[in-house]
Amino acid sequence: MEEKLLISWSEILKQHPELADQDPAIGMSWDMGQEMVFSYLFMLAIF
Amino acid sequence: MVDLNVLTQAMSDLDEDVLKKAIDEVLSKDDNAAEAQEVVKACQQGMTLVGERYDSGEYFIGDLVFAGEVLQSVMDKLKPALSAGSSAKGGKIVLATVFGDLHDIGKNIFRSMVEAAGFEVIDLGINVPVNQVVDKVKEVNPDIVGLSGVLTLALDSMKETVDALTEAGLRNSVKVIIGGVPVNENVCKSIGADAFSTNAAEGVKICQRWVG
Amino acid sequence: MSEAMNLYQERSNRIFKTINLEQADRVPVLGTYGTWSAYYAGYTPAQVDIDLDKCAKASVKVANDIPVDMLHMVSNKPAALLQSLGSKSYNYLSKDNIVQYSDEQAGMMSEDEYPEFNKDPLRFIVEKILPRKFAELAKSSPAKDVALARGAMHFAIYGAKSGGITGALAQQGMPLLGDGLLIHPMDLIADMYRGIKGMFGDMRRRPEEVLEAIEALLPVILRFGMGQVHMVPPKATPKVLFLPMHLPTMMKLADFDKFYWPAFKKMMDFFAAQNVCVLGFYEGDWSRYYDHLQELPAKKSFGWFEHANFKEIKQSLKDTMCIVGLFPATLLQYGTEQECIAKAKEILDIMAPGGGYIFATDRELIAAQDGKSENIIAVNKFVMEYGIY
Repeated sequence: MEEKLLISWSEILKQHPELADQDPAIGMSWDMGQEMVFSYLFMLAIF
Repeated sequence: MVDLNVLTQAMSDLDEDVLKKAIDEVLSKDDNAAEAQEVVKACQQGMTLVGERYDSGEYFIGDLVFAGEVLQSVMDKLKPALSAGSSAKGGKIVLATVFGDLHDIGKNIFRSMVEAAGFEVIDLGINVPVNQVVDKVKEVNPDIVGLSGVLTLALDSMKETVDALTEAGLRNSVKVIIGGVPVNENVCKSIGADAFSTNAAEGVKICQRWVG
Repeated sequence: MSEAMNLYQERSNRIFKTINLEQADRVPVLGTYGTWSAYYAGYTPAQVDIDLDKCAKASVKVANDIPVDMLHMVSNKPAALLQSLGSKSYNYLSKDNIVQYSDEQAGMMSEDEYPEFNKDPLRFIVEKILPRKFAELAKSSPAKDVALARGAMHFAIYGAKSGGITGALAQQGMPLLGDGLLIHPMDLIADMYRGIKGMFGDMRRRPEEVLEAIEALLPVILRFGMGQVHMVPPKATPKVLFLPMHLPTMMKLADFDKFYWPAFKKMMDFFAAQNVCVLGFYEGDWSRYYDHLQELPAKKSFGWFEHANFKEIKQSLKDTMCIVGLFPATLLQYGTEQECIAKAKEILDIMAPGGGYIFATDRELIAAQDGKSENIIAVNKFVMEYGIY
């Protein structure tokens, strides 16, 4: 399977099933570091 | 022989497939210069219809942008088949988006339509310095100078360009039309242009009246 | 200090009550001063983009001099970040001009790359588009990796300094409206990857691929929106995301319905459900879309409008969304104080009754000559008096 750039939600849920009630559609991670990196990369994408 | 009415309608409908087939047919023949010219004319007539459909509110800017691209592609493909100097010239226009402004969608729509109406256009592109416009006017001696801009800062550049033409003693030998978002009657007066337009089709009509 | 906090609260409440389609004590005034703020403070846009201290000074000067209830944002682009990565599309045309993007430079993606993009947009953006946009990211490892890390540092510094400016303004009692930025997937692809000309061709030549691209990109954008929401400290009022839009006024209705509306509606529904308030920038004339806008969740978003028949827009949208804007910015530059005030009165007479209207210019003030400060101050003062209910 191709390596994902950012940890996918399903992977997170495997390790932290207690987060299952968070909306998977938005792919939110519990990891603020990951979200900041994502925001950084996407900011480069839109500017 | 391709059906020219069908082509005019296809151009008006922005139907690329029909146009492609016709062009391929023309290019497959020898001695096709005359037919190629007829095809170009039919497409230009179609472009005029596109302008009318925009005026009537059926087409929008996006359709004009696409139409310009389609027509350009037709011209590019048929260029090898066209004999030099075969297209009628209705007048010469030097066109530019003025210094400090990068926007060109409106300018390009105007260019497509005014070329379709038979004008020869020398398009200097975007962010064009004042002296570049003046030099080109000296060089090609156009009938009309068209200045475009979207941002309000473009108005200053338009004024500077017109002033420079005056200083160079060229102002009276050309008509100046300004186009774009911020132009209006007051602005036109203070810039010293001869006319203004926020609508490409209307701009074409103004230009036609000047040379006709 | 406490006086500033009270002022901050009072202004904030006034704005958000109005967004909720209620009548506050008076019509709120929103400052919409973009790069104009830099010029007003005696700087160039480039200077405030590179040096956030100058940006802070410009913002504070505007907050002190110009009577407003809220500033829409601090106008600044992350120049240090973009330049350190060797941005190709981020241009100042001259030392005192603003940043503009040309349609040609938007050609970051060729028309046959949709299938790859659609499979995994984020991967495609990181692998293919970023190296095309940024010279440093086109280099090979480790130069590229160091550049990416350096950029991340700039990103963090920029975030921290921007937060500092927000804090400085808060200390003066001046709230800021925007907490982040959104973009419609179709606008992003058109503005930055395919060009507007390219997009209008793609819509005709490969419509299914365009639709797939929009759908594939949407969750990424939702995530970007929520990321910004979470990165801003908690607030008593809803967080606000700005949504500038370019394509709709250029499209015919059939194309809007097919390509733009579905993702737009999903985006608006999503943020409404998260209680994040989206401010749509409805540039140009959106009157042919009022019936569409009526379908948006009521009071959950609001709209900044440029051109409109005042009676028509009030009638059409008064139960759906708070209306912001409508005051012609050109009048602030080319009109007399009397003319400006007369226009403001005309707008208020129609838009103010019942609340749900925030006074602002029809579009952001960008150039130095987009508005005379004397006129701006006079008009805002007038609205704060005449707009008392």
